Amino acid sequence: MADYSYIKAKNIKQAMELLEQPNSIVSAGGSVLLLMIKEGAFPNGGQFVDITGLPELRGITFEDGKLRIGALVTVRELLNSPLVAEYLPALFDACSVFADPLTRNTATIGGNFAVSSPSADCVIPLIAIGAQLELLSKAGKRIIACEELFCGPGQNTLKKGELISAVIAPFALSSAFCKQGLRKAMAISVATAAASLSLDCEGIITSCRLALGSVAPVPLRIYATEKLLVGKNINDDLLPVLRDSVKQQIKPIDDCRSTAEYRLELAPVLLSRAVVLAGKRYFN
Amino acid sequence: MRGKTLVTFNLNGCEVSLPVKAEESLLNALRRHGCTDLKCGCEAGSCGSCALLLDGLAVKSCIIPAASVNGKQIWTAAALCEYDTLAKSLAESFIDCGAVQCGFCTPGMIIASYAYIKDGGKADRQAIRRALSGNLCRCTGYKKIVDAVEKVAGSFFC
Ligand code: FES
Ligand code: FES
Repeated sequence: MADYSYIKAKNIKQAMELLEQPNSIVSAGGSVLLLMIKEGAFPNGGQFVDITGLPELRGITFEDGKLRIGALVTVRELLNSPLVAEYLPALFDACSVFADPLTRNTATIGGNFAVSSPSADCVIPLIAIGAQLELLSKAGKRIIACEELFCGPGQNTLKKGELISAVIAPFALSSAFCKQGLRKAMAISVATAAASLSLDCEGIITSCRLALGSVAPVPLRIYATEKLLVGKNINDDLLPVLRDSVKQQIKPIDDCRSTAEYRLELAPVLLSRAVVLAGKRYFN
Repeated sequence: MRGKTLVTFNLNGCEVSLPVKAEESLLNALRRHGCTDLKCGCEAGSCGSCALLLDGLAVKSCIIPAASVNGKQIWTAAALCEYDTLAKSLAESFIDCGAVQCGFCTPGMIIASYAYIKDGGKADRQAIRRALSGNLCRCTGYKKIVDAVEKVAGSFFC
């Protein structure tokens, strides 16, 4: 029988030391930890290190012209934040369809990254927005681009002892996120798409970042399609432009929620919707 | 500490201390303690039948580690309906509207609708459906539950 124990970290220094230990498991909002245990994620047991008592990991603040979102900020807090609604509309879109209202009360933004699922709703818009992650360890701090965290379904590049401490997001006023699920709530997505654009006054796309969820082993930034969109007019029908390029870059699978074939068709449609919505926000 | 952790919290207005295993859910610990108004539907965070108020927020207790609630304030549906006027009106409205059939989902539904109205939710059927979207009911078809919440949301000012 796997053996577990629990300890609440009193301060960041103690947390860093506890996380260095080989059997440590981070515990935060608690929305997925017990489910992972049931699925046998930690066959050798381990020690839960509860990080919810660390004020450094809380709050949404301005820092150097960007928003710093502490890893313990819950989806509910994101939805209630006027800063998120105004400056990160794509993240706001994702939070408003995230799981269900009850789960939003406990699920944290850091946890959504740590689980490293290709379907994580908050992750996809933050990749499109160009956000970064702040990672803390005993050795110090390092900053990576959000998309650099993932290396496979449920797998990430965090080193032993490293903790996601914050998300740092630049303003992305013309950004949007679209999701297709099977149920209105608690739906793990069939596919998701997010776009963040810069436009000139005629509506020509001058730069963009695009990301897709649930269509590859990791949350995916689709670089080739981004290049393709530059120079196109937001008012034209962009779906034909997107379709082939998106299909070439994604590797969806068949699972209980959908088929690879359907996802290949769905992903470009969702993406074109996200692009149109992001474009509309630019002119508002 | 290996084995069990002692957690102390306020449950429905009383201090309690329970020894819990690190991997034990709050739902399990509280049902062991006698809170059978918390129902165990899916034990996977999908159905909402285990909902309770944790420091005033509606949460699903089956996915929260019991060890993590030290020092917190918990209210479950049955006690809430006894002491709180809003919860009491909701319970009565559920009965009046025929929103209770087998009753398995009811405590969770009361908690989710209580949180909705406390958050300033209005008598808007679409919004009520969204607020209850994480709570499943196998019996009623939801219409009567929405009726019950609508009635209270339209007459209650927080
Ligand atoms: S038993 Fe907790 S959500 Fe179903
Ligand atoms: S009344 Fe039976 S599950 Fe809702």
